[in-house]
Amino acid sequence: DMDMDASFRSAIVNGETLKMFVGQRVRTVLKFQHTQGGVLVGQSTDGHQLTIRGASEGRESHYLEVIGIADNDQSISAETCKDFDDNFDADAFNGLCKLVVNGKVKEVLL
Amino acid sequence: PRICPRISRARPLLSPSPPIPTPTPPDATTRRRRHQKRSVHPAKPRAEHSRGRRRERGPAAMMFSSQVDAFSPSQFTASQNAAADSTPNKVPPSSHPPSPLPLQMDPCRCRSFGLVSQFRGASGTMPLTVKQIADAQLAGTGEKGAPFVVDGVETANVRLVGMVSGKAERNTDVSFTLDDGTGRIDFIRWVNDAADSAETAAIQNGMYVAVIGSLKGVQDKKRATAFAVRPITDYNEVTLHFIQCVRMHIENTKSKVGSPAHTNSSVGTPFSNRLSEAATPPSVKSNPAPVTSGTNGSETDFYTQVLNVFREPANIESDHGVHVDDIAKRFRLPALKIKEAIDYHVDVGHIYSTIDDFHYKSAFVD
Repeated sequence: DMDMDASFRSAIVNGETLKMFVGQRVRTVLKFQHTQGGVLVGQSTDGHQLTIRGASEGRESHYLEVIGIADNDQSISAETCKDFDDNFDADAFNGLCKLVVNGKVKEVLL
Repeated sequence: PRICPRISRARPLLSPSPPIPTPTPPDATTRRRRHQKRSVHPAKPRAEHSRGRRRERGPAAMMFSSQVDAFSPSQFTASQNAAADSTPNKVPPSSHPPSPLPLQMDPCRCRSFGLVSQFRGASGTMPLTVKQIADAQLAGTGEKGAPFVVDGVETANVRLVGMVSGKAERNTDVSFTLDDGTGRIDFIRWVNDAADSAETAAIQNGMYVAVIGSLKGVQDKKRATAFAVRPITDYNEVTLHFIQCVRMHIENTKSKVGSPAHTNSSVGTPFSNRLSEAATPPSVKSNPAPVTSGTNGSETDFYTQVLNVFREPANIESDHGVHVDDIAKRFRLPALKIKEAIDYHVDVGHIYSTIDDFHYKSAFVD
């Protein structure tokens, strides 16, 4: 059955749109930069630096998809992470993030 | 022996296609060469006119290649091919006329794999999110065997991308849940032979997959049927799928009567570039044609009028597009004159040829 329960849906976000979903489940793809003190730091597809708590290890120059709860406008508590390799098109993903919050089409994704 | 009737009806959608031109050695027959040309063609204008549009082309090119690998003819067994060949009339509803080419070489079947057509996949394979399906169900469509209607379009065969969970294997089938971030939907994939088993064995929980399936009976059965499930290895395909869903949504919900100069600037950057390019008519033309009453009535130059024909909803819908002669009849001009406009539009990437050098289709959706 198709689940109407919205509680596990995730909004696809970038650095800029993350703040619109604080406290909610989000998913984003960011470029791994480094880990320090148990958190992972990466760069969003629109150039923001984001902190991921509870992330699995990232790989140098690889992109990482993170699904989790937005703590604030710069940080996500990860539920799952997935390596998205190094050939990921950041611009395309960034464009998608803008569509997600576009009033005319967001009903497709949100 | 355990062929699910639903699958055998659906098989024509997945009947074998000719080998993909790029990886295979060239074939001597003209038809095969023409098919090769058709398969590559849609990509050609994009590659040549990639300035300022590269971004949305990159994922598309990658998507074509990853799909090519997955839906190779070797995946289908003789029994499935026989089922497909024996039911030539069971092609899912589409607007295209019967192809003059043999079944195996029909480029429309190639489109079943989403290789030639940009976003539509094939006769009715619609890229959707679970949310769109759930919303359609909420609206009451699909009940009592009625067709599912999404964005006003009857939808049977769908394409989804998401993460697998809850995979369960049984003797005759494999079931799993697909979560695409917008919702969750249960799928069942019937397993009839070794090829099916191999395909399903490759699917693991936590993996991103692309699923082609059917919504028929999803209301009663509480699950959709998957025809093919393929692991995603290039994650740009995930981005691309969602963009395609948005694009189809725009196409299906936009008013069908629109002027070519209209640009919807509120919809993301990737589309607005293309729209504004298409809206600029050429300034060089030799013989301006009289304005026909079939267009929006305003004075538009000839080339734009020709392009408008391709951008009519019925022609965008059609797999083969429009024949040059049909346009010539419409404008009451010699085909050579129309060809001039067509050559221009092909050069700039507005249209591309389909089954032969006389049929063309708009490269854009309105």
